Amino acid sequence: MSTTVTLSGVEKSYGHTRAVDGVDLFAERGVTGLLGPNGAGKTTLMRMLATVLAPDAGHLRLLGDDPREPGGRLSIRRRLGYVPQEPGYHRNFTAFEFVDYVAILKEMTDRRARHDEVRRVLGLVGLTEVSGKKIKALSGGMRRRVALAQALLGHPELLILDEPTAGLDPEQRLRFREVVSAVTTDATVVLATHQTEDVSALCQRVVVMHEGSVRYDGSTRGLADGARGRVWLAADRHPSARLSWRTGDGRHRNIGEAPPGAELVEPTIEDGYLLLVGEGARRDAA
Amino acid sequence: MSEMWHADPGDIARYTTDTIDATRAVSIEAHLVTCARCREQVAGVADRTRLDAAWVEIVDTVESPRPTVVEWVLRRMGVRADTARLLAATPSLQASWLMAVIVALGFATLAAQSGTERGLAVFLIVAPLLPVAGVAAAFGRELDPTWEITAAAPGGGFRLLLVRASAVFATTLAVAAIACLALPTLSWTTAAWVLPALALTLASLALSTFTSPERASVAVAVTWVVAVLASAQETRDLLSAFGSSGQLALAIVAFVSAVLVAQRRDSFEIRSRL
Repeated sequence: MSTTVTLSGVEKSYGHTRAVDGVDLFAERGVTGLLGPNGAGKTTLMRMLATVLAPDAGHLRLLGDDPREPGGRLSIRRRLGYVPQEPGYHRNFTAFEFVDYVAILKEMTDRRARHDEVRRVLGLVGLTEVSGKKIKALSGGMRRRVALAQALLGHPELLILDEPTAGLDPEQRLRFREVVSAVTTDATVVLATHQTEDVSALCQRVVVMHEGSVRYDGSTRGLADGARGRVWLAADRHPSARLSWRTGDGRHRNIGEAPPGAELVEPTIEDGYLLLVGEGARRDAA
Repeated sequence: MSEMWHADPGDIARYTTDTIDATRAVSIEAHLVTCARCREQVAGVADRTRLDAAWVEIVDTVESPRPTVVEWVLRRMGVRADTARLLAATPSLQASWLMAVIVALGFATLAAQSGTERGLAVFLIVAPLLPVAGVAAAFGRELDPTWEITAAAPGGGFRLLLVRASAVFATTLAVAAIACLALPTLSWTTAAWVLPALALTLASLALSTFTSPERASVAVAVTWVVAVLASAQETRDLLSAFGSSGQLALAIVAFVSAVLVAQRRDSFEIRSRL
C-alpha cells in the first residue's frame, strides 16, 4: 500500500488560538476517518490537506508532492477532490451547470468529454433526474450530493471530505457510503466527521482529534477496544461514570471506571471515542 | 379521403445513411411523424451506433448550460466558452453588482453636472474606487460562495484571479468612461481618474497578499479619500491630487504594487490565513 498523505509536526494558529498543534498523520489507499468534536481542528487540517490553507509550521506531503511548491501544488490539485464543510454554490446554477463550472476549474477543456464526466458523477450520486434543476430548488441533502459529485470529477486519487454527511437522512447516508466505497478501490479518502456510524461503516483507520492534537490513531476496532471493560449497563447513572445516558430500554449506559461486579458490555467505536474526548463530545452531541 | 402513402424503401435506406438529398429528407421526416409502418422500417435498417451518437448529441444540447447575458456578451467578444463561464460566475460581473456601479456613478455624475469643482472632485474620487471594490468582490471569500472549492482546483489560483480582475477592471472602466460623456466639460481632468483607478486596484491586490481582499479594499479606499482631502487642504485646490505630481505618485504606486503582486502571487494560490 502506498502512503499518499503524510503530515509531520503540522501547526496552525488563528491569533492566540492553536487550531492544529503538532499533528503527525499518514493516510493510504482506503478511507481514513478523522473524528473529533467541533473545534477539534478537523476543518483546519482538512483545508491544509486540500491545499487551501498553508500550515504555520511542519511538513505536508500529498500524493508525493509538497503543496508549498507551486508545481507540486498544481500536481496535487489535478488529482484532488474536495468537499468543504460548508460548500457554497452559485444558487442560480442548475446542478449540471454547477458541476460543469467546477469541471472547467479542473481544467476539463473539451466540452463533450466534460459534459460526459459531469453526467457520470451526477449519476454516481443519484442526481441524474434533477440535474436540470436550480440548486436553490434542491433540498439540503441533494445539495450535499452536488458537492460530492463535483469532488468526484476526474477520478481523484485523493478525496478530502469534510463533514459530507451533515444534513443527510439515513437513506442518503447509505447512498453516500455506497459511493465512497465504490471509489476507494483506487483512491485515498480522508473523511472528517463527528458521526461515529460513518467511521464504523467506512473506515479502515481512524484518527481522533481533540483540541488541535491527535488523541488516537489506529484501527476502528482498536478505538472500540480502548473502552473494553469500561462500559457497563446499570439501572441508574453511576457516580464513577464519566459519561452516562439512558438507553431505549430504560437502563443507563455508563462509561468510565467500572465498579466491581458491573454488567460490562461490548464497547463500540462511539464508547472509545467518548472516553477519549469526553466532555467535548458530549457538548457536541447536545 | 386520401390513401396513406409509404416511403420508398430505397429512400428510407438512403435516409438512414444520410445519403439522401435535403428535400426528400425533410419530406420523409414529416411523413415519419404520422406513419408507424415507415417508422418501423427506419428502425429496422438504421445504424444503432449512429442513432446512439445522435441521441447523445441531443441530450448534450438539451443539458448544456444556457449562457447568461454576461457569458453571451463575452463569447461575442471572442472569449473562449469555458473562460466566459468562469467570468460569468464572478460576483462583480453579475447584473446586481453592475447596477450598483451604474447607480454609484450616476450619483457622482449628477454631482459633477453641477459644474463646480467640488462636483467634479466627487466624480474623480468615486470613479477609481469602483474597480477596487469590484476586484475585491471578484475573489474575496465573502462574496464568492464557491471560494473554497475554487481555491482547491487547479484552475482556481492566480490565473483565475488575473482573468477575473482584468474583466472587472475593464467593465468598470467602460461604464465610468461612458459616465464621463455626461460630464459638463470634456477635458484632461475628466479622465484624471483612470490612472488612480489602476493604481488603487493594484494597491488593493498587493495589500490582499497580506490580508483579506475585503479589508485591503477598504484600507485602500479610506487611504485614497484621506489623501485626496489632505492634498486639497494643503494646496487649497480640491483637484490638486489629480494634477501631474499626483498622477506621477499614482504611477509609482501602480508600478510598485504590480511588482509586489507578481512577487507575492503565491499568497493567492494558498492562503496563510482565512
